[in-house]
Amino acid sequence: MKNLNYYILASLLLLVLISFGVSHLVQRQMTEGDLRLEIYTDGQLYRKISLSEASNEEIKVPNKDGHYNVVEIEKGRARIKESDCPNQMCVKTGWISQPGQIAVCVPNKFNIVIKGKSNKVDTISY
Amino acid sequence: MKRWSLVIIFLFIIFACSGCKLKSAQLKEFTDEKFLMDTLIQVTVYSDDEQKGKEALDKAFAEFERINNLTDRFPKDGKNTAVFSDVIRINENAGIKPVQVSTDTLNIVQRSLYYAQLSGGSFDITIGPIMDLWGFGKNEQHVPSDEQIQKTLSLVDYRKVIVDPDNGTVYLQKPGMSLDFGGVAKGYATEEAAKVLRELGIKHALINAGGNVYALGTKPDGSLWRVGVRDPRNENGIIAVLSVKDTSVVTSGDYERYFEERGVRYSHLIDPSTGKQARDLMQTTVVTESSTDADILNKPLFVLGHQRGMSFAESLQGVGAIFVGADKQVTFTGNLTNQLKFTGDGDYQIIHQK
Amino acid sequence: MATVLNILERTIVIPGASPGIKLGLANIMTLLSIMMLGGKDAIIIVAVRCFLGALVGGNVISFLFSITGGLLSVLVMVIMWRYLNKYISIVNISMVGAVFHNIGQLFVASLIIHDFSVYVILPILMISAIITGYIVGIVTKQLYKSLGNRMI
Repeated sequence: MKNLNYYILASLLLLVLISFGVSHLVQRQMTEGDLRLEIYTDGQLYRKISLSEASNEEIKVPNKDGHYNVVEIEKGRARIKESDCPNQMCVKTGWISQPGQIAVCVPNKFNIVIKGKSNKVDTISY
Repeated sequence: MKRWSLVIIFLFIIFACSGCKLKSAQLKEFTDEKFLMDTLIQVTVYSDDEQKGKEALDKAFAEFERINNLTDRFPKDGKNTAVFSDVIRINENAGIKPVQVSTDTLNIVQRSLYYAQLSGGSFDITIGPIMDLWGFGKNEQHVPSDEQIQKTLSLVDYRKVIVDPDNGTVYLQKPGMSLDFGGVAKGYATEEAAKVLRELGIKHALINAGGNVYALGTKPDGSLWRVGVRDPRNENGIIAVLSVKDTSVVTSGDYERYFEERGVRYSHLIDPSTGKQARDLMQTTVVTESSTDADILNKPLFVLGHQRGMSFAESLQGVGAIFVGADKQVTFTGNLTNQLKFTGDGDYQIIHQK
Repeated sequence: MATVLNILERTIVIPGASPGIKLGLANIMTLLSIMMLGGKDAIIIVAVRCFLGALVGGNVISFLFSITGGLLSVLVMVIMWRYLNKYISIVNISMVGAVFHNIGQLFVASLIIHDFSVYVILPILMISAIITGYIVGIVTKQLYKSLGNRMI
């Protein structure tokens, strides 16, 4: 108990070191771990998927008129792989990976959006 | 007595301290996105008041709804948009009679005609019949014959649009003519939304209407907004970053709406004089204060191509532009030099002005 | 004694020097209260001061910030003083109190904006807490000594 003062000081020092670690982790999380895909049908959120730890996956999403879109997901990116819509614009959009990018299937009222923070730009003009 | 001296000392310290108060209110971010005008509209505002922030978002989106209803040529899901849509009424009365329209529609038409004239017809909102011929609006795209194109071109002429500002009417002289606001509606809506945000006292905001960007003020920390310009051949890449404030950045590319027939890409960016795709450039970006102008100007710049487009852009006050050629050569107007930084991605050849 | 202080506090509140000094003086006050008036009174003083601060010029959010950091800090210091004051220096108690004060505030911030990203400033916050805690501790120690002599 006599050395408690020293323990306190040592703990404070340790605290500072740990706080650097925490800060670093949080920063990393902010720039990469934040990437996620949101799938919307008919304007409603259908599913949210994290892209930073995603494994290869395909999701078939039906809509209420019996049509469908297939979303393919890989780590860090996603696309509308297949659709039964007439113009196939959504499929032609291809892979999206930047926050704010979208792939839209207007006839099926279906769209996917990449959400997250980008550290290079605040938004993209396209 | 000693007790009192203690109290007095404590009091003195209390006077000077309000250590429990936090620094004055922080700006909070409010963001939302809606699916309108066939694309995703994202609006982000910063405000220190939660109610104000939410109200700003609602009002901004309301502007997009409003302009969408006025300018939509193809109403979806059986909504009776014909009641609202000025465009539909104007088109239905082509060659018949002038149609009374809202102030917004009047503004859009006048601004469009102004640039149509300035660009010698490289931008023309009477391109409706040609767009329909190619099937772009209705999603039945196919390559029309030259004969069909020639015939339809006779209906494309901005000079045959008669605007009567006093009575607030627009009249298309020839039957079969139709206006298409696809090249200006988003820009105009963005500008209206930005106006509303300003009126509400918002000092920092970012609007991205399907790639049509308006940066209001600076970022909350005072730095400039960084707007990336997409790589025309790589949807995940950025070729440049623009640092802006109170400015609109709008990009048009041959990748936005297109179809392919027999290995050839046919984009929605059509030269009003030929009725066919302009192919000199892959992408243009316009940087200027007015979102409406930025949206409009992309069309003539794209159609005019590298050389003539550059001359045209340079002749305009307060307008900056970036041109990405089909040959992957990139040029830009000199007035953008300080705000433009190329990322170096995508092997484009950047031509710097002397 | 504490009630006297509170009543007087309630009648006079003046915005004073720079935020850093304000905070420092507040903490000196808190620590002295713990040492001279006892834990219970000290806690009450902290709570009342935060209420007053919010009433005068703050809002709900700044109140939450201050009360969380303030109470957390004072509670920790009270415990340390009551049970461990033979083994731990005043300076150390002050530093630990300051650290907890900031941790409390940062935690509230992260809850309010639903985001852990505020923790990026944790290192700076900890270091500044330790430094100011040290200074406050030294000053308080001196004050305590000189006051203690006079009070009997």
